[in-house]
Amino acid sequence: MKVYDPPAWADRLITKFCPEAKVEEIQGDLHEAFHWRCEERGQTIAQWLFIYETLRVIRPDLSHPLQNVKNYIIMYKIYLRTGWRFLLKHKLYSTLNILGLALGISFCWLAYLYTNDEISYDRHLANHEKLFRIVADFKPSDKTHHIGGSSNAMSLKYAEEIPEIDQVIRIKSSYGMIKKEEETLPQEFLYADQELIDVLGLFMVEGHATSFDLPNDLILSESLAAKLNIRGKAVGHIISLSDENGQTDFIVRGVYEDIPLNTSIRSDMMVSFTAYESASTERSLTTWFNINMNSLVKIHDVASRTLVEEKMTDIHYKNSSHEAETFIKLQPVSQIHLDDTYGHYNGIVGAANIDMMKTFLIIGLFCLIISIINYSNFTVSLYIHRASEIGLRKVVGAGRSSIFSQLITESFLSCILACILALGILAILLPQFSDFIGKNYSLDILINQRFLLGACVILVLTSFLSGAYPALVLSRFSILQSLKGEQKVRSGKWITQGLLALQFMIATGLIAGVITMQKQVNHLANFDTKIDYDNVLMMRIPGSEAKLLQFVNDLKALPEVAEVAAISGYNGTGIETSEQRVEVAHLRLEGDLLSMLDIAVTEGRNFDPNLGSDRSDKVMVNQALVKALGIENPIGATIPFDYGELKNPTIIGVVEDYLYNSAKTKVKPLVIYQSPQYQLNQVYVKLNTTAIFDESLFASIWSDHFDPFPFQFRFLEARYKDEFRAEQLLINLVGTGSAVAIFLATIGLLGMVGLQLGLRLKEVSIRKVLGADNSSLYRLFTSRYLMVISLGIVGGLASSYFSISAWLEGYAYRIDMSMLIVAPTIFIVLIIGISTILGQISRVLRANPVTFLRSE
Amino acid sequence: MELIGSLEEIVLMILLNHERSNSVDIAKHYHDALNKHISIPAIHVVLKRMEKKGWVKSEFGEPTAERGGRRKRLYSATASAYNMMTQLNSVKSELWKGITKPSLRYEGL
Repeated sequence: MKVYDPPAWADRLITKFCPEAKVEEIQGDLHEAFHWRCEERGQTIAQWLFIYETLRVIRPDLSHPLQNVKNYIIMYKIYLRTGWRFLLKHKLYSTLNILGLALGISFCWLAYLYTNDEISYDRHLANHEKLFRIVADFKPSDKTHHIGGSSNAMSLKYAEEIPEIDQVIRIKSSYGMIKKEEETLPQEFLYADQELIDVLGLFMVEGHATSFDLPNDLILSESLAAKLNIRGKAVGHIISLSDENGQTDFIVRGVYEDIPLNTSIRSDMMVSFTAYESASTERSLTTWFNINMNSLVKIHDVASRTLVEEKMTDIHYKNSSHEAETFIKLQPVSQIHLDDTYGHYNGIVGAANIDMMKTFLIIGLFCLIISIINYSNFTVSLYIHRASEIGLRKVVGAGRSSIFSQLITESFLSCILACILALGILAILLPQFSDFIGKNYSLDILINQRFLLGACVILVLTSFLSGAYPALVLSRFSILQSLKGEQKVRSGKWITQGLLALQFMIATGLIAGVITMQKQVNHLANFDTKIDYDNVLMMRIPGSEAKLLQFVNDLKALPEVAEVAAISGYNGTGIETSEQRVEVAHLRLEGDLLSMLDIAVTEGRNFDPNLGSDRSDKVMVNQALVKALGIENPIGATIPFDYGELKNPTIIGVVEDYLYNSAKTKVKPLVIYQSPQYQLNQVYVKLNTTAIFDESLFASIWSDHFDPFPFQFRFLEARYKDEFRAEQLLINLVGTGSAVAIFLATIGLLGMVGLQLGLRLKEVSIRKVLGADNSSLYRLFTSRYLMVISLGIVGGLASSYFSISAWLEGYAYRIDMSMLIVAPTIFIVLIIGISTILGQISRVLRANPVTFLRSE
Repeated sequence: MELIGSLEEIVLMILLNHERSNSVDIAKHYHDALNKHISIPAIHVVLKRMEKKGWVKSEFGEPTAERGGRRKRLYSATASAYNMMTQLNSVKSELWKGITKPSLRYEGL
């Protein structure tokens, strides 16, 4: 009769979980019972019963699971102790290793923290997946305009006619001055429907959410209440808000707990939307496409989103006077922060800086990769000190897998130490970091479930990745050779050098990136804008046009002031010709802006203040417009420009394409007119070159006209430079990142060269004794590392070429990736690399050869 | 007197009948006597419990091939177990005597 065996895996389970004293009896009994049952009831049943009984064995009254685990604990304790001793024995390399890992880990943590925060926006709102913002894709020409907003009329109609919509909540941002005793505080606030309180889940500390529906109702946040000294007695308090239209009194109905910072709709003060309704004209409330607010829509069922979008678009076509192709869409509230397509205004707090986020993640990962490589390379290079230990372990009976797990445990030890150090680094960096990205992080953000989870994942991954390669190499050592001290790492050399090259590749890429960005921003900052900014300051005027003109007159009387001009700001519209539609900007002018800013008139003439007709149907255009419309003789030609009362005006002059917008985009076609189609709201002042700017003088004239609004002004030059603030931030970031990266790579190189030379001390000494001179020795040892570094440089330049070119694509006026970028990059990396190598070699060469030779 | 479970009682009686048995032997006897199957770990648990109470003692036997070369642990009942069981049985038969003319009262059975 055939003898069967019980299933092996179940058998192993018994050995794992049974206390050792009992294994023999229990396992023997189960086997015996198995054979008995095979005869009695057949093999299948016996097998199933064996499995069943095996599982029954794992119970507390028969086996103690912990008793066996205890052995593992003892084993890992010993692994950790050996690892700790090894760290202490090689203090320099351990410190370099752990420091590198700590830097890498802390950068990664920062990146994780930042990304996590940006992604968390609005996800804490209850039912956020049912909450949308109404947006529109408007296509008057080939170009689609993404409009992030809606109108009062749209909101009301949709709420009324679409049954799938539960609620429509209107919000609109505004601005006013609060009088507090002597001071006036500028304060942004939101007009909001009462339902917003529910949607945001505001917790009312004082008062009730229900009384927020009358035009005089106002609620504010705890922190604003504290600022106004009305904490605890806020309800019923009267707050006067003044804006350009005068002063209004509001009654505080409640105080809510501050809104979490990761909320897109967040304000310290809210006024009932009814206040906005009663203050607005009937026309602006009922005009269909008068987009000047945001509406949140809560739909009943997420699945009906497209249906609601279709219905909204249909209703739009029925009501709108615009013929143009339009799609009304719903943007999920959780995407508002991350997606910049529809903009962030009218009550919606600014977007995430996706570029910054990505760069941070990439740099964090790069730093971590470099430090992981450092760890691997160091550990592999220190193998010689471990060879006999591993040989002996193998003699005693350790298998490859247990050596592997020992070395992984050691890397885990290093990583834990690095994590502790990284926490320290984080504590130091966090305040600067949050300053840098304009956030408000404090250390208690670390005690957060998601962060802890992420930190654990980073810890485990890092220790595995950094330990795996050395563990694989070392666990393959042969017993005999390692005991005899003859064990060599054969395959490892290429990998080690490859990894070294990879480090330099990353560092090179980052440095090339920094240099490109700096050059590009310099290019833009020193761009020929065709405007003379010198001594020109601009002010935004909060009052009516009449007040503005009086203010301009007062300014003209000042001896410091050379010229004053007022403009409407650059607004957009389109010119329709029979063939095409051209997007144009238009500007209303009062005063001689062109000569003030030294803008050249290439053809025709400037506006003449003495000619009355220049104030009605005459315009000036820029060269871009002439080109876009293809006009041959612009002077005297009429263009089909149509804005307000101004129709088909005549061109009297052409100006150069001066840069009126950011240098990031190409100069668009522009129409300049003097006829009053748009309210003047900005004043430009050019100071006399000899004059000393006296802010208080301007401020006093300002307060004569525009009290209580604070006097605010910008010098044009500073304003232009400010355009590149985001880029400058990015440069600082990549700069820091690449500094850390090259530092880590240098540590790696330093350690590698030191360790490998350490193995060749005897060789160096013999060469010296036999008469080799220093320069030939330098050449001998430098050449190999130089190869590795050059490989890294080439790889880094090649791989960064694409991402850098893609970044540059985003700029209308850009530099090319030329030798001016490549040469300094190569220079920096080579200098750092070579000086590191030479430093290590000279240390060896300076030593007396006798010290290394006498021991044999 | 220490309490005894019903499975414990049966296993103990099997052991009183057959000295030096291991759990598989007990399972076989159990099957013969009651015509019911029992799992080996259940017997292990019972034996272990009774060993703690001092009713059974154990020794190692010889290794056999069908056990994969492992030794048997052979269990026997102790004197105290014997005393306890006689006492228990007399108590039981005393109690049984009290049940008069069972056939009259439980006629349907």
